[in-house]
Amino acid sequence: MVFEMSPGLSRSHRATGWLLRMLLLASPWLFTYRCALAEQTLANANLLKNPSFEDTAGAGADEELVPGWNLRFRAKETEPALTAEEVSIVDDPAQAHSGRRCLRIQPRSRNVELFSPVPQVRFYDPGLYEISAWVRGRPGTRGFFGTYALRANNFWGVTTQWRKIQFVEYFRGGNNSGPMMLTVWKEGERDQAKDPVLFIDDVTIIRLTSGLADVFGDHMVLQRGKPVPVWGWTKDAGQKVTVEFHGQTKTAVSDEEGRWEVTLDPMPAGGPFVLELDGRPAAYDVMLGDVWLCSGQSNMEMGVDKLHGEWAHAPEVPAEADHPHTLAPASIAWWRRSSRWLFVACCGTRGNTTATTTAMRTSSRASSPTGGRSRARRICRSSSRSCATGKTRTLTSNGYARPSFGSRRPCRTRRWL
Amino acid sequence: MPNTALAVTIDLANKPGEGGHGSDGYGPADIHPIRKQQVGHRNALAARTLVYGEKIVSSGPVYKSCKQEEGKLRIVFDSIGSGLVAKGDRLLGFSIAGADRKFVPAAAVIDGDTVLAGASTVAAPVAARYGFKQFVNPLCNLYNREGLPASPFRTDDWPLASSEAE
Repeated sequence: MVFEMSPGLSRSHRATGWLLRMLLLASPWLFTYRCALAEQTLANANLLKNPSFEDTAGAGADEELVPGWNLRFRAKETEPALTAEEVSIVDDPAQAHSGRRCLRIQPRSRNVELFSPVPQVRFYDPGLYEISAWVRGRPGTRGFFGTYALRANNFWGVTTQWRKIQFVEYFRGGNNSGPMMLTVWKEGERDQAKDPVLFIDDVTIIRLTSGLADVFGDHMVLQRGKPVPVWGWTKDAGQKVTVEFHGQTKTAVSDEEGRWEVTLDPMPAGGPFVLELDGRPAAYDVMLGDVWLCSGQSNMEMGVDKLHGEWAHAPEVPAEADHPHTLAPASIAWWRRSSRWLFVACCGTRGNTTATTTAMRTSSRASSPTGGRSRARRICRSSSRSCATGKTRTLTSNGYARPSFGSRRPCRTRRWL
Repeated sequence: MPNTALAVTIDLANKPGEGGHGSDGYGPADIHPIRKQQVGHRNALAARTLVYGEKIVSSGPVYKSCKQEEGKLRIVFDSIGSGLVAKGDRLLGFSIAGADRKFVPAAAVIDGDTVLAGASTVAAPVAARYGFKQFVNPLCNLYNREGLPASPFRTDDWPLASSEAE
């Protein structure tokens, strides 16, 4: 809005112009006021649950959840304040995942964008952060949750039940990292809810000090009947890590490059299990079976995340009741991981009907330790730039940002993976 | 080739407007099926037969042989499972040609475990083709009762004009 007085204008026009000028002058104050209102309101939301994650590496002060980055979201500065209809607090323990309050977002005329009050991530150490939140809402509601610089963490698969979304983001720090932001999309996308509604609660951000190599992830299939090597990285050299899987507990100490590896004893076919690293679930819905390596061209490259409509809402994603080990992140993350859909897993032994059924269920969504995140086309260079952005913004041939949903390693450990 | 299998997905190509490979959902038909579970299922069937030795029907009908019979071609298939079926009211996708190598659509019927294909304009057919078109949704609907589609084929080895496969 630019208003410029013209000497040829009539007196009434001139008066109107001055009025508009005064409004413009006052607008920063109005804007601040409205933002403050929004922030004050949102500050009451139980958006930050104290992270239950305990930093097993004995983190220093710089590794704690950064004070101030507590997700007291406010609206985007360039936008008018959000209305109570668009963003409100549900102060009802029965409806909140935390048992206290939760945030309700209902985009009406635009996307709802909420930003963390700290504008720059540069105040924080570069590194890997795990961001998680519990969401529920109207099926078809979509959005993304991440940083302004990295918008690839789209989420969908929202259901009426609380589900956890989580992903790991590499913050490189510096001026190019944006603030944390949560966006809920309004109507407009195909197959999206006409009237999107999202409830969000228990948002946590934790600094990771250890992780699995990228080849490991949710829904993977580990080879049955063979020793299974599991490896990964740590932030510091000489750091002790603990891997727990299916009743086994293995420990290792990382070498001077922050690399560690354990070997799980041979296990029979079965699942799903959760692979825990340092007491933290690192891979959900892990099956034991035969791992198949498949190759292909464009059809192999096309993940389920490119699908639409009924195909984008997996009816065969197991309900939590069926698979208590399959926590909500699996259901969400499946769509990201599902580019490995052709890694057929055949679990169980011959003639075992139940196991065969499992195999069929798994066949469309299973993965292998050689699949998924370690796309052959991904290029890992040792420069921090490519680590921070090149990898997470891999573009498909049609220009879509390919969502990357998994653990990313620090640059210095990248070369051996 | 030994130790290989083929999962036929000719029937899974996306129809126009159905979405597909990275499209906005309104794109043209293409060969990147969004029915990924069926593709995975058929691959798994192949693996169960080939590697795990299960006695199951893991493939749709595959062309075996054909011979001329009273002005028609009788086409014999492998992997017919528990029988051939046409999805729809009549069998589609067959064309035949005589010695002049001009293919015309054939009236094909399922006759027991074989297919009889004939055309009034081809008195002495010598070659048959099935589903023999470019990849986007050829009209062909031969399956076995296990629901697996027949593999497109041709019985001739005549050189193809570039436009012929269109």
